[in-house]
Amino acid sequence: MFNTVNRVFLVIALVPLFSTVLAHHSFTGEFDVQRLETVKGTVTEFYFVNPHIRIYLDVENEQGETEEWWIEMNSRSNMTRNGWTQDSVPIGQEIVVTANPARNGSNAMGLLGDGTLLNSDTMEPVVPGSFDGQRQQQ
Amino acid sequence: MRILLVLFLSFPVLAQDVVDISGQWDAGEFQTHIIDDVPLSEHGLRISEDYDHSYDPHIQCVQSGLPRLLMIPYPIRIEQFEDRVVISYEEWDVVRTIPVNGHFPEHGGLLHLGHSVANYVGDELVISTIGLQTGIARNRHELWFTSYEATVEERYAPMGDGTDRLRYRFTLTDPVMLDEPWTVEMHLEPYPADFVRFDCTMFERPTLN
Repeated sequence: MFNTVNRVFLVIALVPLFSTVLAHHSFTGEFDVQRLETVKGTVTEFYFVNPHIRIYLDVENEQGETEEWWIEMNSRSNMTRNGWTQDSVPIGQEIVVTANPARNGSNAMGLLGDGTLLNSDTMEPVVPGSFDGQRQQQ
Repeated sequence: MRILLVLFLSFPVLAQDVVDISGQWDAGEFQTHIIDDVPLSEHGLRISEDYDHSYDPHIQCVQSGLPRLLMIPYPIRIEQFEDRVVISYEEWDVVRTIPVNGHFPEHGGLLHLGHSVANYVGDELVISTIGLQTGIARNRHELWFTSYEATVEERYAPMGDGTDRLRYRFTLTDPVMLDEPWTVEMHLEPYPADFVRFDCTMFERPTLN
């Protein structure tokens, strides 16, 4: 499925996704929590920082061009509780991320309560037990 | 002598009959906390519904104060001294220094953190705050406004259930925006890790790692 088109959109409309998320800013102000999209790409940078963890990806679009995307996640302390470390997302790792798209249409996604973050080879979670399709502890 | 004085003032000093709640704390699992719906007044509800969340100042990396800071999605550190309590927040790198048994200033103006005083009542540390600027408050996913008439009372005490957790409760009173006071209760857990600098960025890359 992901071999021919690296950037895939799975739009799920009107799904009640948002319930217990508590980040430091309004997640709904930045990301569309009514939709989930999926992108596949190669990790270029991983910032294990506050206020939010960020992953930068190179994603090949339908025209074969490389686009830069970034994924915003929860805080460093929260993600540490979920088993994340500075080394959780290796540079060069190819991943498939399903998350809420940016409301402003930019190449950004929010991965907070719902969504998945998978190794594209194995389709297993990059961090075991984390963003595996189950709702994350917030 | 000066060195001794500095050392004396730099370490927490507590009277023996004061509850010890010093340490680093984290809200942990939010699911265990009591965060009821906000009892917005008709006026508060109307302007809340009109508000576009994409204008949330936090998205623009503009720091907010109380009461929003009190939702503590990031760890906090409490230090108790004889004459003051210092609460440091990982969020926004905020530090509040609150006098114990102090008095509110008569002409203090309005501040984003307001004017706070601390008292020990039984086994609780009680912090009262007045003089808040108008601002945006938040629960789990709602944003609403607070007025300059808002006041806050925080209460901190050991859980007393045999665990090392801390019961943290705050009550926001705002006769303009709320029909009745709104109380949040969280059970804080010890947080052993070092604080991490708060490096808010919008669309540019973080500067630290």
